[in-house]
Amino acid sequence: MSKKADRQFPAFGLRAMFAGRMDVRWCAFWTGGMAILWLWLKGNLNQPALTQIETACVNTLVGALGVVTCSLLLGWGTAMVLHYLDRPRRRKAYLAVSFLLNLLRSVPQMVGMLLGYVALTILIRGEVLPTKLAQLLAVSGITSLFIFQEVADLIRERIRHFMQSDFVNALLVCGVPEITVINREILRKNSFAYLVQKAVSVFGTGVFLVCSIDFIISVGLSTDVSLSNFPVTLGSMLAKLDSKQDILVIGTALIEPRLIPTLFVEHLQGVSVALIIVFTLLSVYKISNGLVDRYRL
Amino acid sequence: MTPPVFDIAIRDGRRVLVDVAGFPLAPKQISILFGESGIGKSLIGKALFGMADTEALHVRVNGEGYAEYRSRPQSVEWRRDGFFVFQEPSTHFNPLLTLNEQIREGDLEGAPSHLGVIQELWPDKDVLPLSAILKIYPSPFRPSGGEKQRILAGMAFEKMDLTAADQRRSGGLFVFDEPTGSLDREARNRFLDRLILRYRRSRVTVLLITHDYSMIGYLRQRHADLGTALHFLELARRDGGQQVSVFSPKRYFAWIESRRPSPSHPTPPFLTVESGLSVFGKTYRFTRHGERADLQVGSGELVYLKAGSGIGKTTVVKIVMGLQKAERFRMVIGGVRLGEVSPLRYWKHSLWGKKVTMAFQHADEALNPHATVEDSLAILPAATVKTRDQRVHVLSLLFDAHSVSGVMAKKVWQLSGGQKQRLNLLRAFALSTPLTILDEPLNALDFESIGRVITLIEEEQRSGHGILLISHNEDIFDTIVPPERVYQLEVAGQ
Repeated sequence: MSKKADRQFPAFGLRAMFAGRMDVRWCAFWTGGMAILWLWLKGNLNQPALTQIETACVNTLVGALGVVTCSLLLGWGTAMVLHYLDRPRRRKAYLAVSFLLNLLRSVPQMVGMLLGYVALTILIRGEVLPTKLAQLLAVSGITSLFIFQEVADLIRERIRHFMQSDFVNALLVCGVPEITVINREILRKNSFAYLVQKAVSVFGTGVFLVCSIDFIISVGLSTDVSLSNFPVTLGSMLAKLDSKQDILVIGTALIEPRLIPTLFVEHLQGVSVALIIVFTLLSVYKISNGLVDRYRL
Repeated sequence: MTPPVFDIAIRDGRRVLVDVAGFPLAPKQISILFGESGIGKSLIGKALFGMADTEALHVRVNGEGYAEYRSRPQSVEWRRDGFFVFQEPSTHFNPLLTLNEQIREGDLEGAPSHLGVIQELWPDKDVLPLSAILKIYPSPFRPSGGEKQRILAGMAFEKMDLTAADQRRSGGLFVFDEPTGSLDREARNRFLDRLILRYRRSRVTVLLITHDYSMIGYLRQRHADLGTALHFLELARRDGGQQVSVFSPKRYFAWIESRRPSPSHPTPPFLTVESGLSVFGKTYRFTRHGERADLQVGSGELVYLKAGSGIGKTTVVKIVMGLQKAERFRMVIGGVRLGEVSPLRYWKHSLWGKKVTMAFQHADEALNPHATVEDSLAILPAATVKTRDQRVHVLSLLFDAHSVSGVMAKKVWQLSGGQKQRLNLLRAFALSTPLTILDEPLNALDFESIGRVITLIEEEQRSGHGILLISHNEDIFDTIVPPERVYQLEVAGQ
């Protein structure tokens, strides 16, 4: 067999797992990178600071996962409502819901998030959110309000695409209910990769927004919501005075190379928090692109 | 004389797509290759012609690499002097050039008459439409598949004419891949007559790939003198590969002879569709024995709706199914009168899957490619497919008993075209609705499956279910449907 033909046959084991799968490769990079970083911090950072970074990391990731869950639920619900309203007899209701959604869409994500934090402050002051987890989930809910329409758009686009196809009509004329055709046949069996890719990109947006807003709040937006009474995240960690000084050293190291070695042992808190944020966002971006390439989305 | 044979192996990654030994291709004769869709007929045709996609596929012919095979003098000659008519003609045509510019491609620049040869494939009255069609920039949907097929076949005929005029060119291979898939019987026969006429003049090697077994009847009837110059082959799946064998026309004729119209007693019509419905600017009427009539299907009746290619048979049955709106549409189904303003929800809640269902024409598009075979049945709201045993039973009606368990877990995209079509039909029959509409039920099937499907249709009919079918396979259905249940669909004014 020729060498060219040989290359056409997939390899086995690790090579096969990574070949042509940028998403899997970057998943492995991220996991490996985070593990190495944790080992390095374990050996070189004091325990209280390490615990804080661990907590911030977990909180940020849980918050972002919450954003993904809320966005998927809200997006799916919205898409279903719009699909069933989009008929001649329900035109007015369809237009009203569409108008409200477009109104929400017109609010820039950052502005919306800040307004959401005002609501969050009121809730915390009213002791409606007593635990850190409840506060974190509230942040996820608010963040997802400004992202979920991306999911709704995707789901509607998938439904519209398949509703014209023969296979959907063929199932409908067999008496299969439309809701089953949409959810089982269109979304689960024909759109799963699209939804996973969207969930990954929503996760990235969630990390970015939670960190950005926490950073803004932490530098003093409210006297009632501050680092002292809000779940610590990577954004709020970055806003700490120690971290800011650590990050300033990165800039100084560029003109004074002798400071570079100190970045890895003396300024770990700020540098590692910044690294985790950037590395996570980069990995999410690469994983998302990898999914697009692998499944030709 | 024994024709040369070819061992062909084609793989896509680890998947074996074709593995056939001893494929005979008689030089300067006509070989007609039958077999169900998706079994690898087109791949074999492309591999022999020397145009298999080597970027995506690993191809070996007679044990040697594809580059070596392609460089052999015979292979070079086949391509240089031959022509390949694609199953999907859009593959051939450049969308950035009009058809008129493309019919003169390559050697055809020197051909004596372009329009004349292609025109032969159109009925005389369609001279104007052809000149209008040739001004078009082709796209997948424009002109129609049948029109593009005829233009491409006409180009192949021109090349045959060049061969007839220059004996130095006599080494060409002409592959026609499903050239009549979108043609009605009249157009198909016109194509076959022109092909045979040119073959007699040029004596080139022809490989015609098709699953239209009824071609045998026409060729034997009209061109019986070709005798041994005509070879019928059948490709079938065997032990993970394919096996090619000689298909005896006697087998086909004996089967046709054995079919008789199933007797049924007249019953009150379950479905009546009035003539005169109008859609896309066309007004349709039904005729029976040449007289205008309303289309009627009673319980236990098999009704055959015929029309030429592109007339609108599928459109009409989609209107009956509520999937398409039409003006002046009136029908009575199960005693309920419906019309152009009837709400779709009536079809949804009271008809679909309960009183009527439909098997769509293209199984490829009618089934969810990412569902398993078992899922495709399990999703149905029918008591007949609730348990796994029931689903196995339903599948065994059209699949070999030993292969059913293996097929159950397969995804639809992994099935051959013939398997998809069988699943498509079984899904409709599993619902046991009083009326089943079958759009081209014999599409993509091999001979054995055609026999099973016809038997199943007859059993359904005997059990009291009405069946309305539309099909190009007139030879077969004219035999099994009594003449009083054959309707012609016509466009008013044509």
